[in-house]
Amino acid sequence: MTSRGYRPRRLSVTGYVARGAERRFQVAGLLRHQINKVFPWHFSFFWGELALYSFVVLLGSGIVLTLFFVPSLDQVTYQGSYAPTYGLEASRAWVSTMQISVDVHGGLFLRQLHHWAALVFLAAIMLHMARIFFTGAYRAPREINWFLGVVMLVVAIFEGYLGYSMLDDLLSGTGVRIFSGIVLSVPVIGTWVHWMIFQSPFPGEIYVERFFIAHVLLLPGILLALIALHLAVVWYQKHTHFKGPRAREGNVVGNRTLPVFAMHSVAALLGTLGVLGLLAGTAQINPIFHWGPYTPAQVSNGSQPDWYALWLIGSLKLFPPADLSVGGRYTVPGGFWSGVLVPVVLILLLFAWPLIDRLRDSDRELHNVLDRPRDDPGRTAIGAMALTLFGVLTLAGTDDISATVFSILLEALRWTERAAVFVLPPLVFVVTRRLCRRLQRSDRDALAGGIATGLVDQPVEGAYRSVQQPFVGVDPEGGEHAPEYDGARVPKTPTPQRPGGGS
Amino acid sequence: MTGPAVKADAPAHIVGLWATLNAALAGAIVLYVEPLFPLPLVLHLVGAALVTIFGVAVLVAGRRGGAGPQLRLPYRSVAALAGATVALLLALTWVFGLWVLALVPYPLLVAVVMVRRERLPVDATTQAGAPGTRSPVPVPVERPLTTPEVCARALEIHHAQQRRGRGEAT
Amino acid sequence: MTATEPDRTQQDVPPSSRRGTAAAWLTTTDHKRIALLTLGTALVLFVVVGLIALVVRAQLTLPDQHLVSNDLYNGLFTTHGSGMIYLVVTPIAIALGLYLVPLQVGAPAVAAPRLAMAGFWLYLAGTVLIFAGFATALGPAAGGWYAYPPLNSSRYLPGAGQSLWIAGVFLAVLGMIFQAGTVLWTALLKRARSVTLMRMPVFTWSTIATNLMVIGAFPSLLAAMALLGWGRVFPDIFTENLWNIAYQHLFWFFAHPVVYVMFFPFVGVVAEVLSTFAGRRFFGYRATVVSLLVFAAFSMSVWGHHMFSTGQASNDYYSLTSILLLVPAGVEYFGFLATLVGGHLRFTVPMLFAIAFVPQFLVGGLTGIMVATPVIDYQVTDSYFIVAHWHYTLAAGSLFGIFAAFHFWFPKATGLLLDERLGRWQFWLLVVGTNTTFLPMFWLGLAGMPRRLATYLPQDGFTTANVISSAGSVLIALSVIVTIANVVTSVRDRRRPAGDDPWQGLTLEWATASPPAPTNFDDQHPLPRIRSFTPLLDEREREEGEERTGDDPAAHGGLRSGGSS
Repeated sequence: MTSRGYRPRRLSVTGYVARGAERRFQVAGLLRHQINKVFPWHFSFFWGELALYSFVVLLGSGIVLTLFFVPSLDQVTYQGSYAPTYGLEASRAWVSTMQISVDVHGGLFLRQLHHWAALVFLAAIMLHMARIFFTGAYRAPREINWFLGVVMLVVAIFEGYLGYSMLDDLLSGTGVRIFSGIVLSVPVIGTWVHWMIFQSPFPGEIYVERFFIAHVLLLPGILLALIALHLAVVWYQKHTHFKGPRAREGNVVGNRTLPVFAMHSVAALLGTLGVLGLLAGTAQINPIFHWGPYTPAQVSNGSQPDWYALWLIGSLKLFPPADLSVGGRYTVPGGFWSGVLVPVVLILLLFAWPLIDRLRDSDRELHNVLDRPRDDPGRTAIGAMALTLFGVLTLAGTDDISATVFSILLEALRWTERAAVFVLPPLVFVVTRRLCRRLQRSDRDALAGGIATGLVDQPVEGAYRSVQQPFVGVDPEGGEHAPEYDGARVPKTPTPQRPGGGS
Repeated sequence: MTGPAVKADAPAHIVGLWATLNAALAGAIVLYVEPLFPLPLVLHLVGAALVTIFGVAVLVAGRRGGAGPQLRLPYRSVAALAGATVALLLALTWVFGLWVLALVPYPLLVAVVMVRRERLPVDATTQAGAPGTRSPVPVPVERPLTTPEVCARALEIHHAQQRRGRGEAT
Repeated sequence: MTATEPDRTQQDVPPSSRRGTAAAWLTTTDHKRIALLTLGTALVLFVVVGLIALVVRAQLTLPDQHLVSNDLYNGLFTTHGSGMIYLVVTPIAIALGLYLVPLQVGAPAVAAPRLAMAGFWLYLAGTVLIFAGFATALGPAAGGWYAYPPLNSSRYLPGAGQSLWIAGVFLAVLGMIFQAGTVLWTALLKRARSVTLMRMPVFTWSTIATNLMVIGAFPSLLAAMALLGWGRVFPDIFTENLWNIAYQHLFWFFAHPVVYVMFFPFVGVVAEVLSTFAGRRFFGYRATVVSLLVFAAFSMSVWGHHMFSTGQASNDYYSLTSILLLVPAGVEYFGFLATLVGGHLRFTVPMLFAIAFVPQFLVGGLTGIMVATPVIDYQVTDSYFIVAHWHYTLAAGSLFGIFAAFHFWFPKATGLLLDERLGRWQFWLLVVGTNTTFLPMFWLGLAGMPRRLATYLPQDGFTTANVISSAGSVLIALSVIVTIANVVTSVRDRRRPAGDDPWQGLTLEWATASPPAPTNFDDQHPLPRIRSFTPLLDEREREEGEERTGDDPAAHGGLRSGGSS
């Protein structure tokens, strides 16, 4: 040590910055605590991250897109570079989107990146939500995150819908017409809500501007706030983890924030960006130049919303046209039941699931260790049943295309779907629960009897015996005892012995 | 040819004789059919050839010591399911068009991942006393576990630093 | 891992360790389970395709009926024919070998279990594809199970149903090739050490002959379907007769051996059943083995007799080879009868089916010789005469073999006995039913009723025979219902556990547990001494001999046939 005052030695850049921050803000203790936080790893934990990173991509690409999009329904003539639509009367919204697609450098890539990121965003949310459900991560103390998550899901669905509907092209305009119809079908307040959005009978001249501000400012703001809250809760309460070697209720087994978890996260973000970029660059999505501008007098065959809204369309298609006449003066159209009531009920059930779960399960303990889906057959079966219903409704939403492509009679297909809505979910419930119980039993049987290796032994001439690889329970001190199931995954495939003795 | 060698090759000889009989019957077609349309002859000979190839395979396997009860088996058959799924997918692609391949490879990816080694490697032991499994997956340990003593010491130091930061005696 | 812990390391597979789960069944490598999956699927399909036949018979009972549209009717008989041949009887024939051969040759497992399992999955995929045609807008395949072009090209039978059928048949037959190849390899190479070739049971030899035919002839169907598939994309090739006839050659090169694939295993079954319930070895073992192989070889060369009416197949060659089939068939029949005569007969249900097989198949076989004569064939081809001929061989023949096998080996596979009384009801209903259904069809054919006819006119004079025929089909349906009831009550109530050997069988599968252990012969049921093709009969005779004289004949070279090689 030399005596050079308070600058005794040379530091790296990081060290220099850290020392400066510490002098000014005194964050070392806080930061060290955060840096030493441990994050577990499992392949299913990636889906939540995927949602986050695709949201980041959405924000970035969305910001650039707002520089070029004009949210206005003023009618102009298209005089841009795309020859097949030259001379068409269209709104400035559509014309500006055409300009982005055809005239702005990288504009089409940007649009496709944004749209693909939205599709992946919603898929990742649903996968993530399914993981939370099937592993019981919504249980105490994490119910609030579940509620936040369901709200984010609904907001995201709306966000996506508004995003592609504000372009005023023929396909999405059809969807807005359906939306308008659904809103109008709400009893008592329907026409007022419709006027709040459209300011006139459909289509009016203002809805694109309102969709725009909702899509660009209001809903992203809400989403950002909710995401921040969601992540803060996860950060503070610590991420759940599966039972495994040394993993218990009272600890977390995994990697620390720095360097490993941060590196993995950054890599995942870049990877997501890369894959979305590849998709955006090679796979066409939402080609509004094929569909042309919206006119209420036209509808394309096989019009479909984005995939995450297909279940709504399916619900509309399958419900019978049951208009309800009230007092001979008012009519509640059939679309209200299937377009408003059914979705609202389903979403409310989804939202309230942690509370509903308390009816089913009297366990009030805090849980930091995740369940394997098989270890709670009832919950897994209910989840499978819900997914089946969602799946049937989604497939019903696209059944006009399926009927054409696979040359199936549409009427027959429709009635099959109607029957499937009632028959398949209970069937799936029963089958899934039985499957889970069987899997549980197979785990315990494997622990008791060992795993078949496929090798056959001949202990005596004329007798054959299957060679089994047994399990051994190991104490923390290294002693052995009979193996018991404790929630960790039981391998069913044998591990080959390393040459030179056991492990 | 010695006795045991003939005996060992007997299965292949049966197949070979059968294929020869077929070839002879095929040859007899020539007496009855104009050579202008030899498809029956070709078909019959191809059939006999297929059986001959099978017979040669049996011969080779028999000589390499492949005779005797099958004592090494795969312990599950995910590969069969995966292979048949691929075949079904290709059939559907042929019927409905190439776009099928764009929509449906994801379960196949899962299947490919699941088809890890289905048979123990050749050097796995077959004697009684197969190895026990101590832990399902080896857990890499970068440094020794933190014992309670180390934790207590670290806590002590941390508290001392906090007190120093607040200006109290350490 | 050390020698001090033997009790925890090596033990027999506990009965419940993972074995009962769905995943265990679906990823199994146990040949018995693979075979049961195939057999179970095939038996379910038998009922489904049989129901289709009932619809056809219902429409044909009276003249001028239109229960279904003509297009659907065409689809129904196409599905009935292709279903029964590709999806029911052939898979049963091959899967029966998959179940029994390793047991009968003393092996713990089959040679390539994943290949056999892939065979099952391909067969299932083929089934789904073929039946998926019913869901398409233009209906299922409707061109007959032969699928002759140019009718079956995309020009005259457009629609996804036809393409799905072609793909489905391709996959199903590919699956059958895989299973047959596996069984053949096992029978040839993977036997226990003391089971030499001449100590294999008659059933195993029949599967060897069957599977040789599969290897040689089934790939031709793959080529035929590929040709048909090519024609779906490029229909112009079928405007030239060359390709139409080429298709027929490719198709029949497969389709004649397939009918022998559907026959030989049941010859083996009948041989086993007859010898078990006559209490003696099958007569003329060596001659039967040789005749099976010769029969199989000849059957590969007769396919042109289906093409006599095209004028493009040599009448002389094919009729000669077809009639020559009488010789090995005669040897086998002689073996059947000689085994029966002088034996101590027990008339159990499988024995009844086996005995009925013999004369009924004879009718089918002899009418087959009749139509192998070109002159007769010109008259009766594509008429109900030929329908009656093949239904006698398949329904009155192979189906009886199937039920004989079912009743004989059900106790082995499940450990439960079926009810004898219900079994007799099933038998008599089936005998009366099949004969009533198919015998009148001979006269219908001679009277001129063409096959694949959707309906006919009152003045044609076909009515009486059709009414009788339909009445018979009702009896067949009742017989199947009785069978289902028999199985359901036997399994549900589990009243009668079968032991290892409920029938006093002769071959190795009766030496192990019912159902057999996963590795077939375990510590509690090791292989007995094997010196002939009827090891259990040898054991019994030796024990009786020892009881009487205290002497073990095998110890000083006994009088066993087939004791060497």
